[in-house]
Amino acid sequence: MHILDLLVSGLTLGSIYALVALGFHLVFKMTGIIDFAQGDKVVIGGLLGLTLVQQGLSTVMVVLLLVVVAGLLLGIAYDAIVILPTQRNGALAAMAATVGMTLVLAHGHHLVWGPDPKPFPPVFAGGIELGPLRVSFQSMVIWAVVVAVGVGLALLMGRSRTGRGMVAAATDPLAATAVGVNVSRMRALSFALAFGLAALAGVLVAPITLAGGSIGTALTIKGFTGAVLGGLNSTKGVVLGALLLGVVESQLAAVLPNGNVDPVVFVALVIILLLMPNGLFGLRRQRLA
Amino acid sequence: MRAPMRGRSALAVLAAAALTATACGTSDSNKSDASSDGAGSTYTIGVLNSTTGELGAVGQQEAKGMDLAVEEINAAGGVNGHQLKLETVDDQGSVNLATAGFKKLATSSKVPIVIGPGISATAKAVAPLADQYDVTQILLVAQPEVANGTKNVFEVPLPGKANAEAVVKYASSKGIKNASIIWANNPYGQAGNSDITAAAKSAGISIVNSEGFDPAKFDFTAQAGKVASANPEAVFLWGAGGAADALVLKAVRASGYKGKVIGDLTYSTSTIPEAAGEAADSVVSLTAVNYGAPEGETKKLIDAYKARYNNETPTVLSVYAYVAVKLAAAGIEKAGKFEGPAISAAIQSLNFESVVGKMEYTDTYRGGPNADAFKPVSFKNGEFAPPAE
Amino acid sequence: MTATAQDHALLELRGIVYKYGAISALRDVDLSVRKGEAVCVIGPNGAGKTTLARVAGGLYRPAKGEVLIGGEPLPRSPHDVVVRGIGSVLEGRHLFVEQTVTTNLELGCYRSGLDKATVEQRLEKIMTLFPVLRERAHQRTSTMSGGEQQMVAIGRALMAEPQILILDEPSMGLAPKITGEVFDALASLREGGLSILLIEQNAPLAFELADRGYLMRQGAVVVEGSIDELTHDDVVRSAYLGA
Ligand SMILES: Nc1ncnc2c1ncn2[C@@H]1O[C@H](COP(=O)(O)OP(=O)(O)OP(=O)(O)O)[C@@H](O)[C@H]1O
Ligand SMILES: [Mg+2]
Repeated sequence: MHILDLLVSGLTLGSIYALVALGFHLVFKMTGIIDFAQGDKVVIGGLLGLTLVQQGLSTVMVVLLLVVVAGLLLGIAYDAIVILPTQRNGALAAMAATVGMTLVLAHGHHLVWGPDPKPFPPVFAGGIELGPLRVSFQSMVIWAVVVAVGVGLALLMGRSRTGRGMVAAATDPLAATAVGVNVSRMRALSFALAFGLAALAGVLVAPITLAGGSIGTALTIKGFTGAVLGGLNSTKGVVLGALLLGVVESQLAAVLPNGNVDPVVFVALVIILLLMPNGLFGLRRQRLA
Repeated sequence: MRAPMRGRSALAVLAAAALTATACGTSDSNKSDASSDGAGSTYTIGVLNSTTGELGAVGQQEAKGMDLAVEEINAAGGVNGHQLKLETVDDQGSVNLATAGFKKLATSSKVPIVIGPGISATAKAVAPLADQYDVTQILLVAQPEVANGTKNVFEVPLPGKANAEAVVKYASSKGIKNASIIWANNPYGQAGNSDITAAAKSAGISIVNSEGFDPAKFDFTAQAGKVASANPEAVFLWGAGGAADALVLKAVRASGYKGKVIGDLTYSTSTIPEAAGEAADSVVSLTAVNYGAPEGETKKLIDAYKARYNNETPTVLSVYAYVAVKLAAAGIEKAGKFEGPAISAAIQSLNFESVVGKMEYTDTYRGGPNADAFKPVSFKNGEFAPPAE
Repeated sequence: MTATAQDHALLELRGIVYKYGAISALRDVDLSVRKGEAVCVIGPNGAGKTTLARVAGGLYRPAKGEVLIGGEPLPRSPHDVVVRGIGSVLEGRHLFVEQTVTTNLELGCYRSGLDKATVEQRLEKIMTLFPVLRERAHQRTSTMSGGEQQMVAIGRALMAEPQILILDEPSMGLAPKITGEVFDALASLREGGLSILLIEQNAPLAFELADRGYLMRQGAVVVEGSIDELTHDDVVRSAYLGA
């Protein structure tokens, strides 16, 4: 089999992880919370998209737009219902709440849409052939979205006034309030963006992963792993980490018995984090003042 | 029967347990008045299964088949003049809840016969109780060793090992001399892998490579690529009963492999074509129900099921459960009384003919029908069809 | 407190009560700062100084009493307080540690939505006030010394050009030389007309800058008056001036 074929499928796998990892990054950077429901939000996005398609909506852009809007609204509700009540008890309480949400979301969508994964028509059919290598448009769109979201997020957080306010609110809520940042609005906005991103990702990846089912946990674990591998604090880091994870996983699957791939990957992750606690591409170790 | 346990994290399992722990209970608590044997009273059959929880889909499919069978029997006048009724306990796939549920059915509801569970772990846990409480039990698992050696336990599903033999036998009949195996890396798939390997050896088919796949994943390019590069005459697929099965099939064809693809009964699910696309048309699945060319009782069952359930095709699991109820009814009828040991003796002597084959139980063999009962099935344009050649 | 002090008060706290659960951190505190005035608050650990600073800066809402700025009550939402001309330099500096000096400073005028040129102008003013920051403009603040961090914290509060600056123990953990630089800068700001409410444990240092002062103990003001009066107060002398 072709190393190149595996590279292409690894990059697509890594891009799927990257979309989840970017959600982890966004929420962490803008609120200081690690939101473990990120993978399940992606699944919800895919199912919402599927429902729209089944209702007869066939224009891809309209489906994507509606799903993203639904995701943004769900994100605001998510903040109000899940995160806000934990705010007096710190980030750890919020994280515990998100772990609880993984269960609620997973079982919730099983109740609404049923437990079985459902086929999703390709959002972008077809592909290009480069000699023996075939790259589907679906994959290319996912790659492009990862790059676009990555760049967009980096610009939002680094350059825009609102983005900087969000990061400030996460780093030091009291100081942020003192300079006039509405911390709770920023938090709501962060969760809205994270759910919106997850919903978008859900529609894009559903033709590959199928919609619904029990893929949410796997997405969460792999997205989180990619993010931590690259450096949860750095936009570039989480994308590169997730891509690396996808590529390595694909290549390893070709040489190792399948059951050994994940354990090998996770052991490697632990070793890398011991040597580089901020991840491969994260911010360098801080010099203490 | 297979338990389509995907490779889930402990987190998800915890999740399931936590979320459903409060939802446990009996769905129907009307007490059976069966002990009074007068004609006209209702016979209550106990059902023990997971209708919620991580494996809730298993119990839900089985419930549909059972409900249909009960309706048919009652519409035809019941059993010896008694209407049938099911009392279901949801064990949520948990060994503890299954054990407690069985005891409740046996002692407080006092049912003489229980159908289920359909998951191997819970089946293994409760099977010994059947003899202890003198209750007849019809398991919906495909492992005869669980029921063998008991007095009161029977199984309907065709054994997994027989499925492997059927797959290999079919390949032999097509002149296949070498093959690869791609199997789901869970207990069901691991057993499938070793059963196929053993069956192939005695049939003189050489296995050129054997690849496991993680049913929790969705990208199988690597496994498919390895198999394609070996280019065997056939690829044997052994699924997990989940979404990944179809994706593996799709990946095998996407790798450019042109040879035969032969699957276990998980490849006879009506959702395979939806997820695998055109690749579905080229898989042959050895399965318990003749979906490809249904006739007689099979056709009647499929039509009735579709009419009852919104045009859905019954899954193999639904059919097994349907057969279990019909088997129970036949046993009760022959026994002439509603008592565990009598029903067990009757079931053993029936040689019951069903749409999934003949139930030939002996003192030592309590499993479902053998390899000859499997039928080759494929798809054409997304619908079930007989294999092309 | 004199009648004139109240009449011309820029910032005024009246009958403030603040509780952390069952603990009363402030019990009926009155305090005022007039326009152009520098006022200090001294007191032992746990006296309630930080709590007072945060209530005065609108970051904490008191259980009882009111805080007035320019005679008007503070806005309800803490993040709106900066708009009313109050700048807070928090105890322990509270910088946005992952960010550079410039970004921290720019975030100081987050709320005002100023154009780039005005922001540049204000940055320039801060760099003139604290020349060390100029060469550190692109350094992440987590990697800076305590003194430099304190300068960034003060600079950040100044970026919104407040009428009054509330500082909570700006000398904490700084070497005497650096402390001197920081207080020189505060003195020059005061010269420029900025009102200052300074919370400080180092009484001699505070008395050099302030016009008036308060001594707090267990959540209440126990002594208040001009610096002259305070330096002659027995309690203050024995506890704070080593006399
Ligand atoms: N978050 C809190 N929860 C409970 N009690 C608190 C909290 N913050 C402060 N306190 C208590 O309120 C009282 C006043 O605290 P505050 O920090 O205002 O004192 P301080 O005068 O600033 O002390 P220091 O000189 O040590 O900074 C103390 O008894 C303190 O223990
Ligand atoms: Mg203090």
